[in-house]
Amino acid sequence: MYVDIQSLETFSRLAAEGASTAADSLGQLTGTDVYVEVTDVTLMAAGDLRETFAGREFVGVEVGLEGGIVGQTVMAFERDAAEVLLEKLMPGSGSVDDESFARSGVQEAGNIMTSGFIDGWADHLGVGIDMTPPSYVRATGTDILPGNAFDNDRAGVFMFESRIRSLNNKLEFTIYMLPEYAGFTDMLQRTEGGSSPAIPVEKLPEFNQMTKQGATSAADNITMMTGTETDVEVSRLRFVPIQDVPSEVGDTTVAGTIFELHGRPSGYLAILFDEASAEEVAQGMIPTETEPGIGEMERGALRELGNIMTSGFIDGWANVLETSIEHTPPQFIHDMGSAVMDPLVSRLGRTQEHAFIIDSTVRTPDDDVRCDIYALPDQHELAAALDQIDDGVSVGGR
Amino acid sequence: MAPSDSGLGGRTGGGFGNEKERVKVGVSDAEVTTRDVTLVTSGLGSCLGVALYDPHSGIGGLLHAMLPESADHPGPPEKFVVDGIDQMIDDLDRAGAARRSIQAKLAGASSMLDLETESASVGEQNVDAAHRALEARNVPIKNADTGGSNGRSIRFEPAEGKLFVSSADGDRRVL
Repeated sequence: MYVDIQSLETFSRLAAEGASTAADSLGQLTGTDVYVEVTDVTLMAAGDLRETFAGREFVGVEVGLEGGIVGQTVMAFERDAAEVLLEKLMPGSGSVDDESFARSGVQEAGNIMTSGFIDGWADHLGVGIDMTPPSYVRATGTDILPGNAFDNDRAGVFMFESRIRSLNNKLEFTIYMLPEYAGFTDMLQRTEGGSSPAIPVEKLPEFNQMTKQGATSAADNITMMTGTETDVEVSRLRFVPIQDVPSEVGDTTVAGTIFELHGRPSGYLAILFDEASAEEVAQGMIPTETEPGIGEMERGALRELGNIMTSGFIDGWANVLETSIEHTPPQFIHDMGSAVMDPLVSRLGRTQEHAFIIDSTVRTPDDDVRCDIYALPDQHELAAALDQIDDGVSVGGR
Repeated sequence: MAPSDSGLGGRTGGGFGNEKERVKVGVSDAEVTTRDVTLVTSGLGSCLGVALYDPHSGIGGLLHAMLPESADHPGPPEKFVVDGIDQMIDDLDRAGAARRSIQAKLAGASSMLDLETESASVGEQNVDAAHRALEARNVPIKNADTGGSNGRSIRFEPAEGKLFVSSADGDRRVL
């Protein structure tokens, strides 16, 4: 089944607008300057979502939709975030442990947000969408999802994720919105039309798996070069407004390497370590003692490491996509993460308003070293390349 | 983009001590304000931050633009230096700033990466575009901290016309 990029852009925009309306309402209710930092659409294999959500406690509301969209939708927060939110909504009057208090507070917040989203969709589709009254849900891990949204036989799970922040108050939390997969993909397909390139959605989880394999071989290369055990924690494919890519990376100082990719797809690959991790891995590669910090020796080591990680990463892509992808020599960077992504985003932003960002996190078991690998492919070329993936390849949750 | 004379966070009181309330400006975004607040934007790599203000009324705004000019490129005016400046001048005008008094300060637009197939870096193109656009609209550039190879985060206080620039290596400048 094909979803055209334009539809996905529309839904990303509607989700962002919905979240923004919700943030405005919350801001008024709580007297804080909350704003939406970023809203992304993630498509995950069911197994990956299970891993990401494992052990996390959520509270939220579930509504049933009828009319233009059919299915269940869950709007959820992590329990800790709900606690903060409830304290802001109704200061000093209870905690999340107080079930009836939590129920009314979460329902109120959930109601505002869900209507924001759903009204936007209804307007866009030009159809009426009826919502059943929201029911309160509290669960751990993927049990928070509507019954039909999480099904190992399905190709994946769509998740809208809005990061809400306040500049003047210490407040930061994420709202997850998970529509029932089948209803949502049907709708995306229904709005399909026009000449914009289309993404074969059933192949996205396969692509995700392939990226994870690429990241695993990149991680193995870290182990080989530095003797440090590493593992790929999570790998996901997000679809975000192009201007929000830098905030996905954040303002923390990073060190690492940037590569241009040529082939199908072309694009960019950024291998970014936090400063302490960069120092640690670089020193693992340098036989002699060096001065603390990231000096010329460390830069050289990180370039070399980046080079070999990139080869491992894109070989995985090229194999599955059956294309050839070349990469440029590494460019060393040591700066604010968001600023590093800026020139890449500017280049892609000439032709596209949204970007696919493929993000893999590599960590050591003791958490001493963390590395984020971000791939930013040209979206049209990615769409074309995904279409080439064999239909016979198994997809979906594990 | 509308003048934020009420806006979100009007009741927050601005956090700690005498610090002003901060208002976030995103990427491809701009904010014009008549209030005594601090406009903040972070992660300027090749992007350019353009601060425009009328020193007499204290009305000002901040733009975080990604590319020089819209031409055939997709996106809102605030994504582009030239289009964003035009829009911001209109908004300043509407908010009550004196058109002839408007001044500019610039920061950002570094050339951190040497990307292939580029004659001039995006950062350089952004600075050129700002100079051209501001000159054509008779807006003097009072101060600028652009180029180089470092990313920057900036804060702008329109009421004082002060632009605070900081980079990842800890350097700080007040323009």
